[in-house]
Amino acid sequence: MENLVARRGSFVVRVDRLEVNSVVSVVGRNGSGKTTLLDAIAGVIKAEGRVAACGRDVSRLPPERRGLAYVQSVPVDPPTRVDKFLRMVAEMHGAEAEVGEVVRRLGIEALLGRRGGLSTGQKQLVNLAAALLARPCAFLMDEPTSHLDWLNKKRFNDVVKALKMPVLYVTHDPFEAMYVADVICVMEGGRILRCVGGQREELEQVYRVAESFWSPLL
Amino acid sequence: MDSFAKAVVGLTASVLLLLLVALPLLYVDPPPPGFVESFVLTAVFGLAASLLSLVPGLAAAVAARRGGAWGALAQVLYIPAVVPPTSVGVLLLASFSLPQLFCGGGVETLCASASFVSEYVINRPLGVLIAMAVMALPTSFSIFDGALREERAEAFFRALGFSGLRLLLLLLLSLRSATASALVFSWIRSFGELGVLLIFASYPMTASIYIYQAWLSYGVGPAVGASLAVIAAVAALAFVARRWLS
Repeated sequence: MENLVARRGSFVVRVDRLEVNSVVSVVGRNGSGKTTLLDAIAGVIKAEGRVAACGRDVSRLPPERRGLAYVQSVPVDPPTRVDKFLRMVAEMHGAEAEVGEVVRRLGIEALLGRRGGLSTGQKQLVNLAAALLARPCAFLMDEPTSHLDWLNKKRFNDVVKALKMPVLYVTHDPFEAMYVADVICVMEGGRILRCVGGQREELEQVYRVAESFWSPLL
Repeated sequence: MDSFAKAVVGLTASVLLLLLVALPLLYVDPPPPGFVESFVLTAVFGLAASLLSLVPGLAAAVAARRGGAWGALAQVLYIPAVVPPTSVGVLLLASFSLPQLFCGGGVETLCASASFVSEYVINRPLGVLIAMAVMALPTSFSIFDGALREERAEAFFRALGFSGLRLLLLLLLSLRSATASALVFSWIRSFGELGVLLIFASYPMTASIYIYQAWLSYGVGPAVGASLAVIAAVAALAFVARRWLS
């Protein structure tokens, strides 16, 4: 994106340039403008400037035509039974053949016959599955693990890391950002202050130690 | 819940139960004939009106969340909730009486419209449905508006490529607690509607009109009997709905 300017009330987000070719995490405090930035890129709120996705300018397109899947902090309830919902999304995007693979990849086979009563973590995985089946050019993720326990958080983030697609990943948590992202950008006052490369190696050791706490469950 | 909040709830509920149940019981008489018919009629028309209000209420809530001119326009759906119901009744009556006004000028098409309106709308089942649907809109709108504040389902489904009616239907299904609440509470609301119905669609007789007529024709006792029966049925449903939806 280039020269993006988005407003929410009197608050203004300005981003001169941000390229997302891998997993890029935006970290920042509450009210720093992270969600406003994602909303502007998704087309949920009006913005000036240029947003490009799938090799085309999508700045004037509505969210449903931008090719940007938007996974949010509070996962959305599947509107129908999980398998029907995923098939509906897949049919819309010609991805029927991919349903099985996506379901296996996310380990949600047991949820396919369910309609209600899903936990927050399960809903978020179903949301991610639907997002994958929409065949987007890139993902926008707004604190997608903020309601998940540590194990589900790691599972979700491992999937994100394996996507091999552009992901703009907003989080409060710098450790999570370091784990999931190749590039970490710090946002404050509606501006991106700096972007740095991730330092995954050391952190993966920390994650292994943390994972050992749950070893009886794994 | 702390003790002060408990005391406030206890006091308020006790006063209401005293005024709306305990003291009126001293006057209670069996309702006059026609109670069951009016209750069933209200239930059926109220359900139809509530169903009709779901999609417009949700669409208005979506528009309100997006803001701009359409968001401002969506606020119109609150009008029936903020003006006196009798005013809504008078305004509907005036609007549906307009063709008759012009029919006097000899415009044949309007004469046909006037004849349709007088035959099928005012004080007719269609009029009851229109009146109840108009009054159900603010309830539906406000419930969906609240639900969309909590959950940004619209942005998620739009980003998956859904738009138009499919988007609204997915939202209705995904926000099922809100949809059920909008349906149940606008249905319950239809039992309390008197002002609009009295002026615009008093026949066939719905529960509120029936109670009003019972009071006029038979006095307080039978009207109290009918009112308590409606309270019992609707309050039980509201209680079940709250337990189920919360």
